[in-house]
Order: sequence, then C-alpha cells, then structure tokens
Amino acid sequence: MEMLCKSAEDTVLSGFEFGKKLKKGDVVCLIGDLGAGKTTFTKGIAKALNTKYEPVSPTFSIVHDYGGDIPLYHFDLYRLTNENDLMSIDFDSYIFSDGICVIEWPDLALDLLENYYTVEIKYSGNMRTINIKESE
Amino acid sequence: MKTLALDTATAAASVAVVEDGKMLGVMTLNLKKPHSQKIMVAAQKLLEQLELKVSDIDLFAAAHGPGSFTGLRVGIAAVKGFADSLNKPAIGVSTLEAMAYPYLMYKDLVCPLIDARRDQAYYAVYKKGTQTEEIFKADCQNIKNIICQLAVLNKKVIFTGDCVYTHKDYIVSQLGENAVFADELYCVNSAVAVGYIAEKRYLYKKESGISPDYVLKAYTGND
Repeated sequence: MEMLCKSAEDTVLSGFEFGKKLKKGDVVCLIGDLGAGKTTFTKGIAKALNTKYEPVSPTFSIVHDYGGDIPLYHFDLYRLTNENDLMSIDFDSYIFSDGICVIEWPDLALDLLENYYTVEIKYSGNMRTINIKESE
Repeated sequence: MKTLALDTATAAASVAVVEDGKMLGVMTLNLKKPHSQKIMVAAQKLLEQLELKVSDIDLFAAAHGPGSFTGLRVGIAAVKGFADSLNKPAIGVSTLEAMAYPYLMYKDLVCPLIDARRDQAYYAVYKKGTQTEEIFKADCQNIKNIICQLAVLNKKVIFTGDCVYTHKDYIVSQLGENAVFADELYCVNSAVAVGYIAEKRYLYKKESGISPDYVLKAYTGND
C-alpha cells in the first residue's frame, strides 16, 4: 500500500488510517531518515488507538508507553548498539505483550521479529511517500 | 523466624510469608500487568491480613532468576530495599529450584521450564538426594535440545512450569511414558517454595546475599 502526503497533517492521517487496522501483538517497523515523519506517523497510530498520551520522539528514552485500551509501545533503537542492549530494555516483554509495538530504527531487532509491518517513509521537498508492507 | 518471599520471575507475581517451615500466607496474582504495579501492594496487603509489620520479618527472599528480566529486577530491588532499610538479611533463590521443590518428594527427576520465547526455555534438572542435586545446571536452550538431553537419560521426568503445556505434545512424543506432568493448576510460580528454601539456606548453611542470575538467552543463532 502506498500513500502520498503533502503535509504533516496528511502523515498523521495516514498513520490514523493504518492504526485502525492494527491488532494486539502487532509490530510495526518504521524506516525513514531523520525528519521523514516517523514520529508524526506514530501520532496518527496513537489517535486510532485512542492512547492516553500523545507520542513524542523516544530517541532519548528508547521506549515510550502511551497507555490506552491496547497499549502502544514506541521504540527508537538508534542509540542501542547490540543485542545485549535489547535484553537490558526487556525487548521481549514488549513484543510478546498484548500491546502494539512501533519501532523506529529497527535494524537491530529485525532478526528477532517474526511477522511485522514495514512502513517506509521517503521524502523530497514537502512530499512524502509512505509505503506499507507486511513481512513474508 | 519469619521470611517474606517474592517470586516475580514469570508472569505471576507472588508474595508469601513463611515461618519456621510453615506457610503463614501467600498471595499470587497471575495477571499480564507489570509486577512493579502489583507486588508491593500485594506484600502490604498480605502483611496486613497476617497482622504483621514489615519490621516483624527476619529474612527477605526473592527468586533471583532465571526469568523475566524486568520481573527479576523488580523482585530483587524490593527485597534489597526491605532488607537494607531494616538491616535484615536478604537471600536469593533459584527460580527453577523453587519450582522443582514441591516435586522433590518423589524419586524422579524434576525439570522446571520457564518460557524464554522463540521455542526456548530456561530449565534445570533436579533430583532428590541427601541434598537436592542439580543434574543439569540452569541454562536456556531450544526446547528440542532440552528434551533430547532428557530422552537420552531414559528416566522418568516430572515437568512443571509456565510453558510445559505449550510443549506437552512434543515432550510426550519424545519421552513417552517417562514424561509426567504437574497439573496445570500448579504450573503457576508461587513464592512459598522460595521462602522455604531461603529459610533453610539461611539457617543451615548460613548463606545470605542476593544478586540476579539472568542465565543469558541467545537472542539469535537458535536452531
């Protein structure tokens, strides 16, 4: 599935539409450069899930829990260097939970995931192309 | 002597008070809620109902692993907090040994299994002797490897733990009648055994001290 976005509002909206389809236990990997709109897209997902808190970038804290009926866990693995780091954030307890995990910079974790969505955000100027794929 | 014991190594959060080898009370919550939100409240309520103050406790114990990374840290931190603030001893007990404890009255081998995801499990194998004997040391492996090692022994093995019923069919296919299963009802971790073992260790072996024993799992490279 491919979507074109002309503004941040559009990106939120596409996240919202995508978020409506997510179920307990789903994992979403977000691919895109700095400033592509990964966190903005996550805000849309959070809206669809009616979370308690609004997403902000988890780069500093590595994982955020926004609460809600289905908990939304928002990761940024950019600052992690190896799999021991994943253990020390108890990664498994999130991805095997009843919540939904959205992971920015997911490369380190890809081998550990079985089924997941990949959302790739590319941009040139103000235009964003969002490409959503399911693994396997 | 009164012991307050915690087991937060699996999905269940359990707290128990044991006095001289007798259970005074236990509260076990088998929820998918973080232990950090439940265990202290559970401990407080249990002590309240037993008409005890935390200062009446002589020994603090926790399952020190293996098990859930966060769970272990919650349990150990709580026990250390109690012990240090009251200047009382703290002691760690193997989660697996505590799980095996109720079955060590039989002569068979006992194999507790803790789910480590991706078809892996934490396990150890115990046997009753003059002392509890550890036939296989605590480790984390693919379930097929674990069962293969046990099949070679050609002995009766009692299985318990949170993932036993997930793998039951496979275990039976490999071990046949040598596999005996604890009732699913008792496959939920309880802090009672942690308390018993802790008390014995402290009294008879003068052991104390607690630190986590995570038993590292291999995130990748499992077959």
